[in-house]
Amino acid sequence: MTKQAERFLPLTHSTYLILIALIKPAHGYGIMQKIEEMSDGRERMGPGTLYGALGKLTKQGLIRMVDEIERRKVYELTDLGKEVTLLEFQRLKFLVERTGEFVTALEGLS
Amino acid sequence: MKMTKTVVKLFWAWQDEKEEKWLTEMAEEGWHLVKCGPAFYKFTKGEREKAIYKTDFKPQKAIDRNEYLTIFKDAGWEHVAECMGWHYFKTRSESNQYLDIFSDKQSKIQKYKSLLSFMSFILAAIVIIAVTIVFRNPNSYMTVMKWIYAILILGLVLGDIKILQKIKKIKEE
Repeated sequence: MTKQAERFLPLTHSTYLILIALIKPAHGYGIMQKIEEMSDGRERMGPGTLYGALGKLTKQGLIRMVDEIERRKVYELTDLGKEVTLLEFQRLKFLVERTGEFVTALEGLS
Repeated sequence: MKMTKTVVKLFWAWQDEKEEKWLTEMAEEGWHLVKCGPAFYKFTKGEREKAIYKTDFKPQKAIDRNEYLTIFKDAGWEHVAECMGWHYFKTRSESNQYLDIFSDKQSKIQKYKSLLSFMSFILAAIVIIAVTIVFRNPNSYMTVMKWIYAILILGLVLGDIKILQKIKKIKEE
């Protein structure tokens, strides 16, 4: 299972945010709002981008539709999706931790 | 009875940004798009608006229509017209601070990739007909058809090249 999940890494920025937003099931607009919230308004997902990404992630088996409320599809992470999200988070965390000490040398420059 | 007008205008497939700007200018003068067709646009007269128009290319079979339109609507984009795979969305720039339907390079490129594959499919079909039937026929009455097919093929090849250039440009941004 892990080997299959690893093949999805590294994720694009948008993809990672969508998966995080779906840790709790949500519909399209809910995902857009969650992403905006998480980033204090700095990140936004365009509807065209979101629609395309949801289709692709469903095809890849990382998310699935679980419900439909008032003509809005509600999505959730599959087990594979959860694993991929966790692995990506760990990859990013590892990267930041490992390179952090070197970056402090740059921090004085800006 | 609302005033309407139909404008005959042709934008090539790769001139989508030009088309979007033109629709915005029309909206500033109070003309709002309600219908589109091959080389024509129908507008109704209303208030002058600061509107942004964006187009998406999604041939019918590729979409779950309800979900597609609902996601746009929830994000503040009104679906004003649709024709030949092109969807026209409009938002008011005062109420929506997000002025594009695509927020990353990948999805922007995907739109042009869909267009490219659609046009290439048509090009392939036309080339097959041209090679097996049209250009094989020696009769003089076929001369006009031969010219038409030749122009179509050249036009589509040019279109494909233009779109590939667009994709390249976005990748390099």
